[in-house]
Amino acid sequence: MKILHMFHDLMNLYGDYANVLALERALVQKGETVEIIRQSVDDKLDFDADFIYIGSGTERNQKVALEYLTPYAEELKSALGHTIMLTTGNSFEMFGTKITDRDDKEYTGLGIFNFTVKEGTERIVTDSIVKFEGKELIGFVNKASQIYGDVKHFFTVKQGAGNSDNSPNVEGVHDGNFYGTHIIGPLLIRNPIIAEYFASLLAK
Amino acid sequence: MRVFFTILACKILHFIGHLIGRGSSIPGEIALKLCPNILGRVKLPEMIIAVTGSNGKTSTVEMVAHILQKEGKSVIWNKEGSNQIAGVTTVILNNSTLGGRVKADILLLESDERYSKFTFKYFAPTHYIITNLYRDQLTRNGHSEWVYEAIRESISDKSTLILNADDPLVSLYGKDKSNVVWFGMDKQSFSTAENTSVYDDGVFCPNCKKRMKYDYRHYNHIGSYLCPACGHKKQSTDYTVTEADLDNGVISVNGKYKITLSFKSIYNVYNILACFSVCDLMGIASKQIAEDISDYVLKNGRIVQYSLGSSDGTFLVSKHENSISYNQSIRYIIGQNKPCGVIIIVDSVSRRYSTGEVSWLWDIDFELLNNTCIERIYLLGAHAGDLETRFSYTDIPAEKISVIPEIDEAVDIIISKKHKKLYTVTCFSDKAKFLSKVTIK
Repeated sequence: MKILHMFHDLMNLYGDYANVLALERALVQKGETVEIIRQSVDDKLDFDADFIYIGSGTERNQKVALEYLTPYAEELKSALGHTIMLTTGNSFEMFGTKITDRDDKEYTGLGIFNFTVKEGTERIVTDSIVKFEGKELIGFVNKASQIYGDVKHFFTVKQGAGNSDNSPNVEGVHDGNFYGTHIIGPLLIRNPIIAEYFASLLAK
Repeated sequence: MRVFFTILACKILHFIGHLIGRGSSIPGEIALKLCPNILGRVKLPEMIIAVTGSNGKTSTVEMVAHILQKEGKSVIWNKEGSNQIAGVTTVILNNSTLGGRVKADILLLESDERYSKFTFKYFAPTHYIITNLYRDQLTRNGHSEWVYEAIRESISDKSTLILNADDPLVSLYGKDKSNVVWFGMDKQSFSTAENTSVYDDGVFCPNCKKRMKYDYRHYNHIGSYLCPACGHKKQSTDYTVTEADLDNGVISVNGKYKITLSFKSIYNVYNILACFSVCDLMGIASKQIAEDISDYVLKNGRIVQYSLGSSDGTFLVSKHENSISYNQSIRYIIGQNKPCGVIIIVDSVSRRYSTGEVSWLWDIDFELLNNTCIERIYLLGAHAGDLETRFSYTDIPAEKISVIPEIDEAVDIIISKKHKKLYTVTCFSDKAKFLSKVTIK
């Protein structure tokens, strides 16, 4: 089983690297052999993996990752046809059509999903309780952005912040094999059921 | 008249506050309502020193005050610790004449890194120390670059910046500026070629975001760096720790001034160096500074000696949500190299706000506790389970770890283990919960 941890040294805030460790542990418990591959800026990206993960970063680092990923957009899109991908924190924002930063500078997104992102000057920080497939998950949100557009959401919000002021009751994106959320914690560490969810999908 | 009444009101409120034991920021808060630009309307001392950054502000300010006062300067400083605009206003007005003149040689201010831009809207420090930028209280600070922007808005061209040259992000404040004084540490025997921490904020240049190279690191992203792409690098330093012997607790500044340390920690060395730099700029003789600061024991209560049962204990106040602060305590414990039990308490993450955010545990180098001198590790508090999970991802054997959320229960068990030496690591928010169970020496 190959887990690709992308931008491990660039998108490395809020202990998000531990999501990969939690998934590895859940897979090992199922008897899988796990190999973790790390690729970042200056590496030739190769999406040949069973699972791809990207974590949270600063707003500036996210733009660096986005610029680096942009030439790979088509390749990434086709990889999503067969590879499960989890993106936590602001890394999932790259997969929309556009990010507008707090100085109103616009960055073209990877365009894989139909949403836009607006960054502000205030941060949204809150403890969160969200629901996924009827189960409650806990975590934290620490972001400076709002997500606008018609997305298939990952979670419903019981407490905390949703994708935007316009859609406070839904959180993240789950579309096909793609999962994105602003919930940190780390998500898979604080919610073993979600680590188990991904491990089960992979070990099928 | 408005200035007069505002100062009078602040003094009266401060007096009443003192009598009833209330905080030091309320009088300033009300003064700012009465006269929003009051800080621009009082006559401040000729010298104004401000200290901001993630870690070391309180300790640095305390040491600077100690030296300057010892050398006969009159100093007004916010020793009560209120470091946002209201607290600063209280200190200034309370030490002002009713005519609005602050009588002292030097005004010395610890300033909250996110709120400095409000405090320094009406006056600029003559000397502005920025100690470092770390991952600190990210629930309120977002991340270091977010704080960087907030501090940047507080900087005036009128100030001489006193910057930590070893911190690549802090150093960026000095880019294209002439009135900058740099402090830093030369390569030492303990310096490493690579990052030794669980995360690395020194990979990418804060200026151009290309990969940086390090000659050496002292810890985390602190060291000697060079960005091959844009040239951002550690500047040559005006004040330098040329030698640091942490085992014996002696450092040498600028090659000739020996300072002995009461707290043998590299983080403490940086605070001393920042302090040395600004005191020198205030005209105190280097020799005198070194003498005054040698063996100085901080009064801010960050280290408390205690006994528990038959054990001697050292309580190391660390900051939750601040991995560097935890690492400082952990490195100190390992550095002592005595057989010991280590108690880690995470009960309330913050004393200011209620949160269950514990992602910061993943930034702490707990792996360092995988050391033969550690007899047992006790994980306490409401987040003992989160700590247990974190420790399960280190190589520390599970049988060396006791998870006991209830502090009362834990204390009884710890007594029964009869460790010769104990260390307790926790935050202000959880300090009293433990210290109320032990005998403070």
